[in-house]
Amino acid sequence: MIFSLAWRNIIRNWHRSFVTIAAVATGLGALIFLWGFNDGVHNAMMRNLQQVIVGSIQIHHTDYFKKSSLSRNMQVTPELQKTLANVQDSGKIKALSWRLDTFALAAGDDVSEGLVLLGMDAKAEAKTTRIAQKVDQGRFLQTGDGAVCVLGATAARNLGVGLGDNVIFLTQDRFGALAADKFKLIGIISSGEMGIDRGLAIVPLDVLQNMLEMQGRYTRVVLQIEPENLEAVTTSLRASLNHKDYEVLRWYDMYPMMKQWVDLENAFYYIFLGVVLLIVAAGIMNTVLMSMLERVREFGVMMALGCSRRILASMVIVESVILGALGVLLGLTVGLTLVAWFHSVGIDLSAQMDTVARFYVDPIVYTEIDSNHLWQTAGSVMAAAIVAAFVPIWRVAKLQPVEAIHHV
Amino acid sequence: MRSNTSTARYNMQIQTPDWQRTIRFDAWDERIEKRFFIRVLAPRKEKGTAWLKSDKNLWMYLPKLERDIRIPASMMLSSWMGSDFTNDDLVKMDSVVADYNHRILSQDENSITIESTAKPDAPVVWGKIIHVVSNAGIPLSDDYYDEHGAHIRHLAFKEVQMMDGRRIPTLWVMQPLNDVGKKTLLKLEKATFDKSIPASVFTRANLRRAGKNR
Repeated sequence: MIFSLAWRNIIRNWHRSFVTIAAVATGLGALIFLWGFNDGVHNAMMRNLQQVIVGSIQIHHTDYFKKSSLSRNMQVTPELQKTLANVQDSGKIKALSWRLDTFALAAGDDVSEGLVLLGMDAKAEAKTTRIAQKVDQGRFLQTGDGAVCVLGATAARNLGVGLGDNVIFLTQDRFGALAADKFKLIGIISSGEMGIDRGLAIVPLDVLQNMLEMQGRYTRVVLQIEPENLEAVTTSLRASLNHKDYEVLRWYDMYPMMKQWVDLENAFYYIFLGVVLLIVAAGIMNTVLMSMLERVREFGVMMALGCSRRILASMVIVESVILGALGVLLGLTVGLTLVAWFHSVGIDLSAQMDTVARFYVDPIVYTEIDSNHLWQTAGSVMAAAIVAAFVPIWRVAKLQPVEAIHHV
Repeated sequence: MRSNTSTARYNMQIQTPDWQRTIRFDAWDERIEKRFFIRVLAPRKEKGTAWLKSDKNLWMYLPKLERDIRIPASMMLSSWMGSDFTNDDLVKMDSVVADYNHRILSQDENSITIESTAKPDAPVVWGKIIHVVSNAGIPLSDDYYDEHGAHIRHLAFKEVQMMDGRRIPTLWVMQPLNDVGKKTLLKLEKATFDKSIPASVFTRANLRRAGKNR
């Protein structure tokens, strides 16, 4: 009975109800869109970091990441091969590539600079990372290339070399002996990431293995994994690989800066959206309270006819819940439609961004929303809509029939 | 040890848990002008590789590629030829006196312990060096500490012998403390002191020549 009374009240004055529903829906829709923007930027940043060069998970010889040395290398042992094959069969690894890297001195005609010399297999890397797409002069490595290299733009400029020039790399092989060779520059990367642009030289894996006396040996294997499988794959790799021989590191174990940045920004966002939520709640409270004040006379008549305060209060509660629920449904529809729309169209911010930031943040933001952010927001708005009804309910409970009937 | 010029032949043995190798080289050193020249004699793969320090620059010559390369400041802390000595050890050999403040920590009947602390603005890599020198003026050991006071490496001077009229340690053992099982033994095979060295030795032209002659 209470429900049908409440429902009739809502449709009886659909105009008033619609204003309340619209207030809830607008607030929720706006909050969802704001989260969509925030999550879109963050997820793109994290994806870029993983997909351009770092990968989602790397496996090294134990302690290699902290104290890199060619003596901490890996061979494709049956243990490693079996473990990787198991995870790969489960479909959780999208792609993987073996790499070899060391520190080297690069010399152009007059200048020399220290940098990371990275051996990559062109074919495996094309499936695993997008580093090849960051080449903006010349080309990336191809299978069968001899002694050729791809340099970061800043490094190439500092060394004073251009496409077709020879670059000398000087380093130590696995036995500490001097290893030096000439490499023809075939491509220049400008990624916007300082570490890549100024401190990286990429050469064919097999060429580098020979130069460093590292035939059949690698320093890391880079895995590309969907974010939702990251933790599970890490756990299973750690469980099946011996800790004494291998370390399994997630991207944020190696480069915690970005994850910390995202966590910090999310914390700010919670505060910011908390304030927005208060404003939304005030708006909802305003419409609900107004609609109650309009009806004081009507409540007085109902009480005079013998309707108890409890039934009256319950009716108002049910009304608020229904209005809140309808508002949240509409808000979800509007918010998710906006997020979906801008997920495919994108929001072009290239005019507002300088080129330096472009490695991590795409100039076009594609909105998306994490499910926990979505449900937290929808839940908070629903709660706000119900809490907003408490003031009118409290007033209704205190009404005196005679005064109420005479209320103007 | 203190001489204006020296010409010497060294045998450097690098020991690690995984491998071990020996490098022989000749060195010409001129203290006043702060310049030196090194030419590697063995192993064959590195034979003819040469190093020149002159005017605060460090150059290296690669016979295989017939090229000389200037070693940039950023590579100064990198290991020299895979050993536990760094490029900086070559370049800065003489700057300890000028760039550090010195005080005597202790003294007994055999030796003096001297603490050298880096001057605030000195362009040096070590925060503190502790030298132990015998009362006869022969160095016994050097301990290197970084700017945070962590003990990084220990250099011991051993096997004091007469060489060209001087009593000097002929074996230097460099022990890095953060790398278990690694050390470098630098043995002085022969040396002559205070014999003038032609200026043409310390030139880039000589670097390239060193590679071709051998």
